[in-house]
Amino acid sequence: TSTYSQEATLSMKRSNVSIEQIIEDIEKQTGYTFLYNQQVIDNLDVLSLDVEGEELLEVLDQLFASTSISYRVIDTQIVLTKSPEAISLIQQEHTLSGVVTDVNGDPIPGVTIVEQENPSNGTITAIDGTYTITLSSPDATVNYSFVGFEPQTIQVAGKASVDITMVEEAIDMDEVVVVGYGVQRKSVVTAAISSVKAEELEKVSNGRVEHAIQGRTAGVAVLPTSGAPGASVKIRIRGTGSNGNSNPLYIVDGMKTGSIDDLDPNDIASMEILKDAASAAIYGTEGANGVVLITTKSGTKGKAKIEYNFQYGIQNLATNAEMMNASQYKQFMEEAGETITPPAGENYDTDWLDEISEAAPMQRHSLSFSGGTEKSTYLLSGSYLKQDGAIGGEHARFERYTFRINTKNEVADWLEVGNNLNFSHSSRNILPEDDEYRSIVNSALLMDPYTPVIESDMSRIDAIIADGNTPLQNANGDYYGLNRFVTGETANPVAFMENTHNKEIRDKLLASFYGTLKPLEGLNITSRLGLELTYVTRKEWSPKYYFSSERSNNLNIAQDWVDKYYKALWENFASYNKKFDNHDFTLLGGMSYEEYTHPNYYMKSEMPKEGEQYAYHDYYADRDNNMVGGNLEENTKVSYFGRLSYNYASKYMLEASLRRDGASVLPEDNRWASFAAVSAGWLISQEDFWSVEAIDYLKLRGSWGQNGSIFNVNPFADMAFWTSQNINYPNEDEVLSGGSRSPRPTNPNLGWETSEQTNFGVDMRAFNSKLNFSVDYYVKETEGLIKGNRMAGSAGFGEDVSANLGTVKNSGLEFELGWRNTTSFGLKYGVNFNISTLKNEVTEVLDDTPQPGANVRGFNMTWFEEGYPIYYFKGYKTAGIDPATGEPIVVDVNDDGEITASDQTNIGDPHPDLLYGATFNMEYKNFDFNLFMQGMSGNDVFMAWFRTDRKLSNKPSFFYTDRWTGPGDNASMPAPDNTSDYVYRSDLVVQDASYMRIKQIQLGYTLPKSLTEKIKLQRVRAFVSLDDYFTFTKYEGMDPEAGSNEDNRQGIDKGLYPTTKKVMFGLNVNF
Amino acid sequence: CSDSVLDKTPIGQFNSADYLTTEEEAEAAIIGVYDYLQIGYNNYGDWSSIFFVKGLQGDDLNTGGGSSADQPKLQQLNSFTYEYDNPALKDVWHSFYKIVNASNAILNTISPELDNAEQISAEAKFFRAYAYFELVTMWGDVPFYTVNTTEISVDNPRADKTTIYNQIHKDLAEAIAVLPVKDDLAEGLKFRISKGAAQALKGKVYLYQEDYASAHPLLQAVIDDDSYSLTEDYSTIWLKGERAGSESIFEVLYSSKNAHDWGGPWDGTAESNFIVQLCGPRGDNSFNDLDVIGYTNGWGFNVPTGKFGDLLQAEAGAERYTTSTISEAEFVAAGGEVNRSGNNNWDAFEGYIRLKYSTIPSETSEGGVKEVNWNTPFKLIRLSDVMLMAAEAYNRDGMDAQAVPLIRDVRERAGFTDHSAWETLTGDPLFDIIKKERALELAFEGHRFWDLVRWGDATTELGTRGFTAGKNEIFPIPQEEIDLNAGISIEDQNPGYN
Repeated sequence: TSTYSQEATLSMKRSNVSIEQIIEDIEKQTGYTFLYNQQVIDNLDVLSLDVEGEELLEVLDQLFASTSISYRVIDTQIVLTKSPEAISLIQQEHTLSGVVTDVNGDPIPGVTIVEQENPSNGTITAIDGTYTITLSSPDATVNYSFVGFEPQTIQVAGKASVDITMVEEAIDMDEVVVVGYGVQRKSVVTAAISSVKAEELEKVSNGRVEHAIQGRTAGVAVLPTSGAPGASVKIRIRGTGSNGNSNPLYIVDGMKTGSIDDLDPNDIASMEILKDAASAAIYGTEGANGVVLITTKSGTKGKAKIEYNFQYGIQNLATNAEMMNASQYKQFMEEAGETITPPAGENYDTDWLDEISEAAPMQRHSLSFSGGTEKSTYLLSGSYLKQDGAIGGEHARFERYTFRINTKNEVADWLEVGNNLNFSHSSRNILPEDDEYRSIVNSALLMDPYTPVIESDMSRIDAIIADGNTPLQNANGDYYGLNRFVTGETANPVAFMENTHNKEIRDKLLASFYGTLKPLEGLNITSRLGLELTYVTRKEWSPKYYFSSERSNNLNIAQDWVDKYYKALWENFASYNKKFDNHDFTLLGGMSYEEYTHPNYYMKSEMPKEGEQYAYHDYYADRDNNMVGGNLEENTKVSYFGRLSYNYASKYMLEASLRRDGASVLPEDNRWASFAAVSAGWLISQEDFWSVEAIDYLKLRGSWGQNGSIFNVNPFADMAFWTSQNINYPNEDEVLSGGSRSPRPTNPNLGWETSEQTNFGVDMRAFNSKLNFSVDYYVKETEGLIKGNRMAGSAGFGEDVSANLGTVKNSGLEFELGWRNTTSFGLKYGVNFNISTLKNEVTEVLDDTPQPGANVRGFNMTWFEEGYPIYYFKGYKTAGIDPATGEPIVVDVNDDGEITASDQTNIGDPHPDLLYGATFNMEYKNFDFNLFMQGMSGNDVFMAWFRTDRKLSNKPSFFYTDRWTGPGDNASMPAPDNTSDYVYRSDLVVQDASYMRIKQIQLGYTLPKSLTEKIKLQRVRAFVSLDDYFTFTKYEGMDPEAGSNEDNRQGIDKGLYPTTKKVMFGLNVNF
Repeated sequence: CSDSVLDKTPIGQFNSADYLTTEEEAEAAIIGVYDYLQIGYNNYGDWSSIFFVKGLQGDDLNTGGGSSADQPKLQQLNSFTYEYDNPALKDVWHSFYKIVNASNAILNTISPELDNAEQISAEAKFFRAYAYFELVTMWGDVPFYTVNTTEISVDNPRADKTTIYNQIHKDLAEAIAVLPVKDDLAEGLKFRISKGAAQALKGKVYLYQEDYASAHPLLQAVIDDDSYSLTEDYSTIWLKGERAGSESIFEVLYSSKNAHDWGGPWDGTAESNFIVQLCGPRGDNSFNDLDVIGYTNGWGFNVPTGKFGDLLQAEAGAERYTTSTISEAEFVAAGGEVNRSGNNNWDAFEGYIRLKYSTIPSETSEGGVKEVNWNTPFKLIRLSDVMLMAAEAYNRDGMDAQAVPLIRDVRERAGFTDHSAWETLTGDPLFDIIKKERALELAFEGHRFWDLVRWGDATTELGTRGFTAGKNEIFPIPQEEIDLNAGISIEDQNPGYN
């Protein structure tokens, strides 16, 4: 809801003008709106008014003192009514009464009720939503209208009582959006800002907030790093601008936070995504990758509410990946020259992907209490989430509790204090993934189908025991199947799924406390202290096991990692708003100070006995295996910022901001930098000459600005030092001596990474705001991009130093289109599309020396190189399969007549060319329906899970079905070959991973009011939903959204935990 | 707001401005160089060990492993199919330059007033010379630094070998002048670089430069140094009991005391020797019951060739043969099992199992994870190597009379008493004896390929394995060096590799 100052002041001098004129002037100056029936003001004479800086209420008193009008201020509306004595003069013929409520059953005061046949006859509803109107006839037609709601018309037909439920209008033009250090009316926003509202978040079944953004708005890519419960998510706003971490800045209720995964989506009132430089510039530091502003819910004055939400779902593995079955495997391997002779009497054909997956439940509960008095509001909420893994079940379980207290208190007319506090506790069982050697998904992809899940050949088990090793058993005492053909680290994934003990527990407090002084009309001075405290402990222990000499363990080792993160942000800022005539100025100035420390500790020791209860460090006598570690990270930042916003008659908008930042992690001479931005807008539809009736609203916007980033800095780049970390050497008696080295060069020139962005946009609404459309074009150039500088080996340094290494350019077009309407028979529907294009290119690299990124099987696979997309895939390009030999035809890129390593070239990149999303929703009577899809195209994935060094590892079935089978065969895949770089480092294993995913199909039903009222409830809604259920893609790996924790390894699929499909049921109850 | 809130002190780092100003710091700094050597020989970057890169091109070894595709970068060394993007070559190049960098850092910043400045500097000079010698041997002309770059980008073209050789000799001469003989090193410090090590290396460098007259006096000085004598029992030379033993001149030490487990570290910084695990006879149901010969299973890399197995069996003498390898037949006869359906690179197995630098259970930790805690030292220069190098230098310098007793001593330790068949030989026939003796004595230790190249015998001995004369004598400059060093372009690549 809007936050208008109650103390709006007015200056105006009018003599002998109509009441309408005065009302219009007051509306313009204050942003308040008047509600009245024409009949109320019909008989008024002309009026005069002469006030200078007087409060609105005083002005109103003065204005209506000599009339029969009484007024009432409700929120931002001024409702005019006839004084009781005046009403009595009206002839009474038929009396109609009732109550007007919104869809939640809350009364709506101030609804205008007019008799259609007699427009001068009208009234408005009282504070409790009730009304009484005296109509000229029992057959009258009555219109109900209220700003922000769909108007309604009823035939009285003699009824004495009619209750009305008003439905909110499709678009509320005076919606406010949260911007950095303040709010703005949407109509005067000049920047590229997208909003996601609570209603959209409520429908999301995933417990993570980030997923709610996916596909909702143009230009924002949400990249899950994994489909595992509780796994983190990366957000890329307008492309990958930076070299390493390109995550946006998250601000929750003004507090900067490292992640938003500890928030319950139900607690969120709105999320604003600041996409262009102008809107993010006020956050100068770290705004370069965009800003996500989250505002959590607060209580409402006078209304106590209890809300309970519940969701339950079943998740299943959803993947296109299909591996060779036993007979395909045998034939493929034999054609590749291997011998596959399954042990006599065995007939296994294990589908490992099937074996590692199961139907896994998830549930979420959230409960909130909110309310408020005249002076204070509060919200208390709590939530619980429990999600098992479709791979791993309880062994991949994620559980989270959150608690929230938000309050806001007007201590005095001139002082408001409040707080937002969120505590969360979560635990997550982590299965190894995204690793080509020891991950579970990877092992399921590589394991041969001849291996049984449970061992039947006990002689194999006996042989392991005879060698003094330990075969793994399940809970029933059965031994897990041992590899029949695949060798090396690959081992029975089911065994490891059930025997991985790796749990992370996270406690996080995110809190902010503020006080706002309001010494003068329009002046607010705020001091806010934010705290983010995170404790993360991870415990891992391993049972003894033996699968092969490369996958075995004969010690029970317990390891603990303890991390404590502390961040304090103290901000002081003042804003001053001044309006006169048609001018509206807001001036903001402030400073912030940030302190961050992160100590971490590591402990390792041998366990006295196998089992969770022995995985502690006090109980083993032999201390030989003990190890400890620990470190400390700390940094500080200081910033000063200012912003001027101006609009003339809400028609011409201009905004400029400047921020100056200092950061301790940068070299002393380059510590400070300034970031500026300007933006302007023109609301053409407000112009007098605007005559296109169909278009209600048309705004042109433009912005330019700069932002900085130091996300990827390794501190103290300017400092030459020696370190003793991890440097030891034994003497001839194995006594270790500590050593030291100077590990890296200095880089005193390291400075801020700066992104510069230009944005043009158009917003339009037409046909009574049923249609809305906006388009943005942007060019975003990130200069002096910070990355660890890989130096030539001959320089002889062991570590990289941070450097400003190059420039990345992202550009794109973003469209959002929506249509909402209500049909004559009461069907309400809405359709929204968004689509954005993206072009990413590295335009400059320091010294023209390409920098390697991710490594696959020892070879540099992704590169940061001028003229290519950031971290594109470099490998061999093929031109089909030679029909004569079945070998890939490798393109001789450098045209030297030979195929050598220097023929490697661009064979794909992970960046989409197009991102899109669409929603369709419908409401009819008590039913509602929601369809939501999302997708991207033009993104490639490099299948990197293959183990060419393990010839008998399994492969996707298309390696078999599409293979070359003999001379003359025009095949798309080569003759069976387990090892060739021309296959496994070529475009033959790069696939187009464009996809379209139906994120949600949801059907909801709200119980009829008549029923809910009987059980003393406000509203009860239940839904069923299919989430992430259908995915359309040609990618034949686990998941086209192949994410990765490592930023230089996007799109490199090492065997990922895929997104799961879910069947959900949910219930929402308001008391 | 003052800047002071933005001033932070780095954690755990010593400011260079006042570092290397105490004896303890100087001591720590040189330990840092030893540690780089340890990392380089261990598994820096996924088994990119100097030990493999120096050894796998010889005709004494096949790469082995679990299949012919196991560790492609190592398989490519064996078959001469490596290209300039081979990660093992890149990592070994980097390893040697890290030693150069760390040595330079000491030499250019150590305060001369320190009591141990002279000694520490001499060790640093030795290491710098050692690294450059390996670099020019493996790559020819290479970028040359005696002062570390202070720029973050590199623009340093290849320097002529002779410039580098001059620096090597200068460094070694200065080291020899300062370093104590090994016997004068304190207990617990016997592993440190001694005068003998510097002399041996300088002699070896001259030998590689074919300056025989300069080589033999230095090598003879090592032989004459009372600190050294041949270990009586050839089979014990590689064991932990012979760390800083009488035959040790220059070696890399490891420890099993850190009790690593499978959690790593896998970046090469472990204190134990991971390479031994790779060199052990492959398990996974390939070579079973190794305990009958006193071994345990490893991962089957660095497998003897049939050619060398036969040679050792026929001519090495019993002790050197049984220390280096065992034939399949003998292993089976002893009660072992060779199972060809097991997981092994059977193409690389030519009938002999590797035993030198291999998995002997006494050489790992008792309590920890055995596979990752080997403490076997790598002998980089040992006395018999020096004696055979001296013999070669004498022979090439026409001083066969001085060569013969050295060869005789090496053969006597190997159990031969009758020398009549060869001791009267001179000139090239005696040279052939020396070549064969080096093959027998130093099999699987990483000398063979470089000896063949130096002798001009590589084409003869390695032609069938893919060796190309005029190309494979040296490695290609790594791709990453060409990409990141503005002073070297693809046109500067070694012949045959671009």
